[in-house]
Amino acid sequence: MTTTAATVLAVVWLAAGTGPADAHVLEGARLFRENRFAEALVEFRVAERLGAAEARAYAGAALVKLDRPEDALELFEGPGAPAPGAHPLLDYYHALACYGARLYRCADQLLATVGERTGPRIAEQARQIRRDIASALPAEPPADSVDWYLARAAERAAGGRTVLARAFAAEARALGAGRPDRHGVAQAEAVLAKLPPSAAPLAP
Amino acid sequence: VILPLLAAALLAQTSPDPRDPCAPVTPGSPDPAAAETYEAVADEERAAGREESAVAAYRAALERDAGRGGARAALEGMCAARRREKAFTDGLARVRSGDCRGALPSLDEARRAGDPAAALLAGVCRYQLGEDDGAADALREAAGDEETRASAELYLGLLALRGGRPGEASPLFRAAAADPGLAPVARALARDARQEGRVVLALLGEASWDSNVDAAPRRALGAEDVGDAVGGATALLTVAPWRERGPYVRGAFTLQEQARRDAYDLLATSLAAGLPLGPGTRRLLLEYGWDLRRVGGAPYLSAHRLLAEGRAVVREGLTAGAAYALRGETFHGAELEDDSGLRHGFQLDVTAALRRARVTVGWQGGWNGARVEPRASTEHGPLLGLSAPLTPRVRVVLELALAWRVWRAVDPDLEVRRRDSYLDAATRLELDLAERWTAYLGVAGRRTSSNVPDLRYGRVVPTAGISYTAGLF
Repeated sequence: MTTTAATVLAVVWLAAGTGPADAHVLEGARLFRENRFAEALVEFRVAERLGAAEARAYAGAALVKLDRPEDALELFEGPGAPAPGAHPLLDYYHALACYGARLYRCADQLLATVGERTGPRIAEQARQIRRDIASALPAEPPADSVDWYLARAAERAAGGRTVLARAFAAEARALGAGRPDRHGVAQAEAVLAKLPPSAAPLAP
Repeated sequence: VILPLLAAALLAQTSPDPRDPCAPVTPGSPDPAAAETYEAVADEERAAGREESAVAAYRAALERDAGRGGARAALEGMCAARRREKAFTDGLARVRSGDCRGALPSLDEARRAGDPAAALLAGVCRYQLGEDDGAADALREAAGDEETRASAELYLGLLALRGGRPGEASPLFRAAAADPGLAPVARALARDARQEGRVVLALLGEASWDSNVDAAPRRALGAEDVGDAVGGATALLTVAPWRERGPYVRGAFTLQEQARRDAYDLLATSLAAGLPLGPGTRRLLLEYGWDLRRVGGAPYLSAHRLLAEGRAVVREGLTAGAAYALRGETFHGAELEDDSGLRHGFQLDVTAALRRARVTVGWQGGWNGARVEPRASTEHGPLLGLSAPLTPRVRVVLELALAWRVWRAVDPDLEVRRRDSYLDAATRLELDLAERWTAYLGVAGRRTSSNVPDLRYGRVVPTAGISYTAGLF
């Protein structure tokens, strides 16, 4: 840990609330800083159980680090999730979760809002990811790609993971809308109509 | 207040976590209420398939309340699975690097933890190392699990076959054939098992067309009728009381009748006694044999022969072999007596299993010590063999050999020292009609070259046949 980080940790520790949930959030943050993401996730989950609603998004960030993007996405977009734009760093992790789940439109939208608010290093990484997405996404998305997202949405809906189903259906709708024949758009909207609304909606 | 800390944390770069999540849990300050929350989180993480965080949460629960039996059992179960997985992965890596013996400690550790895949791999390794008893124990364990049963039965069948128990092997192979991935191999082995025993009887009948019965010079081909149809039958009986682990005797009787050229009718009898030594991975075979041939109803050749042949497994799927044969030949009849003498032969080869095919590459040669120098010769050349299944019941066999022969002295009639070369090629398509019946279609050909133009000739022999092989006792 750097001296600056240790100082920040000490200051925050002293300044933080004394409730049991805050202590677990702090412990989770310390573990996260030490790259102990599984233990950090546990602390954030415990904090959430003890009433720290904001810990849910931090758990999402830990899941991104643990390479569980779909699990993370359920926390970033499920009930109790912070609205996009509330904190740029959480938006950045939310975008990484979208990117890991191959939800490139979702990732691009979030990264566009991150801007310079997270500092120069993250901002540069966000720009690089956006460049990668722009070069990977063709102007007219192939119908096969739209179908792939629709199939994923159906699978996740069948498995009861409605947050993911909504995310994949929304991606399919956005991709299909980029085609002259609007392939799959109606199908995606039909899927979305059957699903509960997102707790943290992005622009359609 | 917390956000700056989280910001610092979330900006962290990833690096490996050196902590062992399955080390003994060190008790901390008792806090049963917190322990209960940690255990609830652990159960959720485990249900979500997030093993790493589940282990961390169970540890946190036990640090605060060592008496939580459910958390302890769950943690021990997950850590045992991790250790088993690691031991199996270590063992598998060693097997893949060709170190089967070095893999055994890890595989046995995983096996003791109840991993059937490790039991299977340990069994296969011990089978390859020739440790049949240990292999059987491990494979029987693997056969108890549905996922590894078919492969384990296949190797148990191979063990039974190697142990001289084909009757036990055959049903194991048939059971293994239920797995579509193993079916081709298992069916072939089941067939082989049905064809093995203490007494093996093989009967073969075939019809062929020999395009050049008397090896007439190439220029004679077409100029006169040099071909003839041939019908033949062979009976072969092998008695091996200890199967492949002890001495055996073998007798063969062959009859070939030409349709028109009775002078080339063949009657051949061959008797042999042999002794195999060593395990399957390093095999030495010693054999004595006696051959008698009559051609056209008259005595043609009698020969005593000795054979020493060794074969060793170099590594998985690769064997090397060496053979030496010594024949004392006596030709009968005034024109042939001078060909009599001692003949030495050798062969060196390697045989590799490439996917489902078997490829043999080697070099063979001989020294023909005929009693009259112009009839004596030396020869050598490469050989290539390929055998591959086309379908579970059809195989193709291809054999190629080239020999350069140099005669030892000037031929008094030709007034030249002969230098010949012989290119032999044969291919055969074998179809398993039933476990004991096999039909085949083949074609063999020879093309010779010589510094004496009149001795160059070609020959093609297409053949169709059927064989019956039965193992008894």
